[in-house]
Amino acid sequence: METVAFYSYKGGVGRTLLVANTAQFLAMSGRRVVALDLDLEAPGLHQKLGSRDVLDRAESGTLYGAVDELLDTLENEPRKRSLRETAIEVDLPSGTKGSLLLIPAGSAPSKAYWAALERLNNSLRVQRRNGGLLEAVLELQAHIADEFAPEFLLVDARTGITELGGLATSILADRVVCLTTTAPESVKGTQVVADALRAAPRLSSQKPLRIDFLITRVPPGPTRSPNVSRLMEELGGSVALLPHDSGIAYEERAFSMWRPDRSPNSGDDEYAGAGLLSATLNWIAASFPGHKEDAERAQRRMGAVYNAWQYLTRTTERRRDQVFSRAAWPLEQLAERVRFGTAEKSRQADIVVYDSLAGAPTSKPLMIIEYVDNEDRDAVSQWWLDETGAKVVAVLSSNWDRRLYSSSGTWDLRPHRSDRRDFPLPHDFEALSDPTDVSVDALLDAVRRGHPEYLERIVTEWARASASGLHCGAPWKPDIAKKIVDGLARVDAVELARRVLWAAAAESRPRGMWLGDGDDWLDEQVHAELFAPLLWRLPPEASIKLMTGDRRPYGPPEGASAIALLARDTLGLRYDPDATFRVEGQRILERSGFDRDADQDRGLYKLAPAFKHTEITFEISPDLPPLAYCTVDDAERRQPSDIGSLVSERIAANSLVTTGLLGDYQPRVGRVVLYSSAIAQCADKLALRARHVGSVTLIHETLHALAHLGRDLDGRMWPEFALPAADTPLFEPSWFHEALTQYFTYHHIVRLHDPALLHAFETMSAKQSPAYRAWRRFRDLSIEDARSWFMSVRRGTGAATPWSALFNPMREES
Amino acid sequence: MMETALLALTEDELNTLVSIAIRRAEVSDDVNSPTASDAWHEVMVYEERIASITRPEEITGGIARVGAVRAALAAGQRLEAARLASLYLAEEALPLERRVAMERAFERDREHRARRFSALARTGRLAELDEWRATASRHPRVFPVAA
Repeated sequence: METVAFYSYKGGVGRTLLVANTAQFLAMSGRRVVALDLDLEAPGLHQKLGSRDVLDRAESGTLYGAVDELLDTLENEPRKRSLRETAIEVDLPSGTKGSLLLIPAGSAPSKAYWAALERLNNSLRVQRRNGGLLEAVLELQAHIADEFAPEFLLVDARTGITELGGLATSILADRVVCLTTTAPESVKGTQVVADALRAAPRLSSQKPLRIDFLITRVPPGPTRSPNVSRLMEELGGSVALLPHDSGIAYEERAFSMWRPDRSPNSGDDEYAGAGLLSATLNWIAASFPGHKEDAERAQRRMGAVYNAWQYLTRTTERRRDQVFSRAAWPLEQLAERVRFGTAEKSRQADIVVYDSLAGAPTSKPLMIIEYVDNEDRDAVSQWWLDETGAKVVAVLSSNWDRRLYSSSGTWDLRPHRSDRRDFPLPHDFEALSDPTDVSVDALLDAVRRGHPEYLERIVTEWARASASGLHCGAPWKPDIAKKIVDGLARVDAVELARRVLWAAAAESRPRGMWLGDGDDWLDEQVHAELFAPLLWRLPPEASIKLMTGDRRPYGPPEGASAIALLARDTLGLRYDPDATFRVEGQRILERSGFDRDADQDRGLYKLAPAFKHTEITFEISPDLPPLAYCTVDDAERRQPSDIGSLVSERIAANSLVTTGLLGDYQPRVGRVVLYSSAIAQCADKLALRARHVGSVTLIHETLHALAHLGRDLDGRMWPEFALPAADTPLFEPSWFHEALTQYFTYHHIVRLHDPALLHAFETMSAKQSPAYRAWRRFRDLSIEDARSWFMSVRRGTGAATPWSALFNPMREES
Repeated sequence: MMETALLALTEDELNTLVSIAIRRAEVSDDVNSPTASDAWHEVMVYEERIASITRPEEITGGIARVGAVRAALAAGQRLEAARLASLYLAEEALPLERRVAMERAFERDREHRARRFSALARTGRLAELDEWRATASRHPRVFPVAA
């Protein structure tokens, strides 16, 4: 038996956790191991290695340990207890050849434990003439050797300079592992202790003491920074380094001390650790040489289970240098190393996720996670589903090879193997009937039922499905991409729709989590082919809410770029209010002979208010529309008419208009307004949905605004191409404004591939005044020709073109 | 080195004090007092002083020598007991029965410890521990070690 004491001059270096993990690693590598907690004043080894039952016994004061053994030795002759009653067999995974026995300090931190410890101290004083702590501790060691014949006795020794710490390191141990951080006080103390241990006398039958040093929590940076190198020289002997990992602060449990190295091709930031797992496991494997294959198998298992635990419990994650919060499983619902089954046939789950407090009598397993080596994984999952009734079984076989199974729901509970690779989180069990089913249909269904947490994943799926291109070579699935856009566009709830837009917005980066590092080309594609169409297809309340929400500093409002796309792709114009301000402002300054050397920027800044109207703003108004206040027959302003009657009259007379009634573009201030009451009445009377009438109106009025404020490709603006204000008496729709705008509205809606929206547009158009119906006559006109005519009209030369006759609404009348 | 006050005591006075000290140590033993070890140490000091002023062949001298060794063992000071025993056994005039008594005291102590630390005894490490203590006591050390 080799006795290895783990010692640290100061606490907080990860000593106890290292003992626990070394013990498990060795046991899983086929070795017989006993782990003894001699940190009597601050014991914790049972917290790392003990099962829930052990922890419950510790809490109730009925867990026996080293303190009780020492007391028994000192007070009773012969001893009353058998060491076998005290040692706890740590349940190891199925198929493990080795064994691990835990001898905790006692029932810490219950009151019973502290009472027992006080009794031990008294007894040591009383009995010291019969043999003190030295004899008692060595007696315990000898009993362990006699009873269990382990290959390794791993001792968690007391921190600092104490008698027990001294005994454990100088006379009990064959080897001491001294842990220290790079903190000066820790290093100095370790040096003093190391010198003392090297000079300490040994029993005549003992070999010289071997001392290994571990510098833990080594800060990131060059592995051998000058400080660390100097420290290694000062300590002498065998020195290894373990890097710092902030994750330890959150969840210091066996298995969960370390992060693995980044998987070569994963691209997942979640696994970007400091390599602490690898460094530690490599150190253990090198320090306790044994069967290489067994050690590698243990290493793979620990890494895989660690990854699973990490994924399930991490409440934040880092994506593209940003930290996001995350709905992880509460620790109270998780348990490690739980055995299920009967005496004849049982298996140990590495992790169990319960539906409520783990260990509570009424709690049931939701998900079982087991690492399986050299077994039929399908059969193992079947056994788990039969035995536990869990909804999901995850079978691990290496760090990156996971299989998820769920019950198919059929009478025989045949396991259904899922394509999903990541572990389901709490919301998956709440939102998905099968938590492993992350198909596009299932996710879209969950989103529409009010689970926006799947939006990121859906956007990612869309990007994957459509990420093909001439340069990409990814599997192109246009039908999936279209299904996603159509599915998201069907969201009705305004707040949910706003979140859909936000998830698809260029500024939303979470999809980087799935797709890896940012790619400007992909961002542009997501924006143009997912975000922009959704902006026009989703309920306009959501789109306008997004566009009028808080804007980023020094940037355009959300959605501005989608409007710019509409301007470019449909009208052939440029929409960039900032550029307009800069170019036009500069031109004005040059004309005015402004002394640029004296005041270069303030002059431009002062001009800014004059250009406010060049940026389109949006509003949904509950007020009555301008046409409710006037009629074409009556020059006098009158009391507002009942909006329902007004809309009915207009529909009956085929004189429904968009501008001035359903919405408006106010050219003086560059504002697009939708009138919610008129839209609702129109939708009701035409048997349409208000959101579709609203979307058609939004597109129509935005096109009016762009036709006015957009710049030609040569940079010129034509501010005189403005609609007559709808709130003036004797307002008449401008036929060429409306005819052209309807034509472009139609073509934009066709491009959106939204049948409901197209139906709404055509239904409305059928009841509209001639100017709004004129588009039907030239619907097949190429958009380039239409743009050409639009440009000439904008410049005031359009009336002379042959197209004017075609566009004249009176032609239809005649 | 013995204290001046101790050196000033007469044999009669020392006999009186040692009787009282023995009684106190026995009572301390009976009640499992943490001070029992100290009480036996006091007995050892008196016995050692009496031994130093008496001859080994005298009844008082023989009893004191055996008493000093027994008291040192009872106090748990095995190194001191061994030192005293080697000192007294070197005295040719020490009667045989006293020599046997001393050896029996050591024997009983070994048996008692072997019963208490049975596993250690089987490995032969109990004796090693006494040697280790002797070495450690002469060695500069960082970690405290109980006697």
